[in-house]
Amino acid sequence: MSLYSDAEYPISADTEKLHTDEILSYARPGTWGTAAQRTAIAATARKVRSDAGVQESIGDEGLASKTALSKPAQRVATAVALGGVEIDRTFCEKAQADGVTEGEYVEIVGLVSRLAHLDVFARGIGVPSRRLREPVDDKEPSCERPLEAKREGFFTETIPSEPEGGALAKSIFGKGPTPNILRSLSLVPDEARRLNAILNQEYFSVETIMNFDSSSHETLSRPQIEIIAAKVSELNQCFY
Amino acid sequence: MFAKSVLSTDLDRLVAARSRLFDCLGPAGVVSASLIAADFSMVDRVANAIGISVEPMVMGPSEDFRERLGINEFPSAANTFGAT
Repeated sequence: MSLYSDAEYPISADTEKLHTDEILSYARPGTWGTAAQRTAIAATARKVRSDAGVQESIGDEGLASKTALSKPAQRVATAVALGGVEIDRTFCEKAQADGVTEGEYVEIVGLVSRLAHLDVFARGIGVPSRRLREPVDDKEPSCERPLEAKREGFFTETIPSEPEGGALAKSIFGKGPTPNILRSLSLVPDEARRLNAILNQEYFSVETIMNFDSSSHETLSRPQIEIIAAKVSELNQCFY
Repeated sequence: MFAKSVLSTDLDRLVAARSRLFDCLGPAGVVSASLIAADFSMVDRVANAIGISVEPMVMGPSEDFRERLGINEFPSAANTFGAT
């Protein structure tokens, strides 16, 4: 059965494939979190958003209590789940001082943000959020930190654009200068790759984004796409 | 209306907005609008939580409407103004 078989609207095979892989990604080990920890982070984010009334519970929040998460990790997941509006450099530094490593912080940010993506989409098309999976692998995370990462003025280290970021930058972003948003999660390359894959498929790629006469959706003009984007970003108080 | 409703706590309002969107753009329009709202729900969280700054090439052309729309007052504006 396909992921959105209950939807009243036509969901493309590409979207089904991407979102199915997204759902599975929370239940697998990451770079910094075990499968059980990542599942618990996702379930925590779901619970926070359900409690806030911005999405409807489907009853899988119980996965949050199956694995003990540290209070600081829960605080990060909660703040991001609610939009990250109140997060500033002090918040990020305190999370790290309280024991969430910089890599863990970035992975939690990526994971919770990608889950919000799936849940907002489900709400948009009028289906329940897709159920979280039980952890599928007990492999230990690699905890590998890219040597290319450096301070660039953000809260966390990032990999510079190619050529400074070298082969790793090229493998994640492609050649040449890359917008900050596409490099934002690059301290955890797998998270950056996932963010970029979603935007490439559903919004615009680096190659097409500056072509304002083009649209990535047959039914929406470029101005209509940007109006939706701007309204959502206004509600999330995102200056970027 | 749809973009606002899909992030709101008011389910009835969302249902009404989706119905209007369907009438205007058809079923594929509902899917596309939902994907864009979803994408920016993700992007905004990442941008706010990592504290990325806006690229200098974007700051000049957006100066007039940023001020007029109150965008400079968003907490995350500090990530750009503090960085330049």
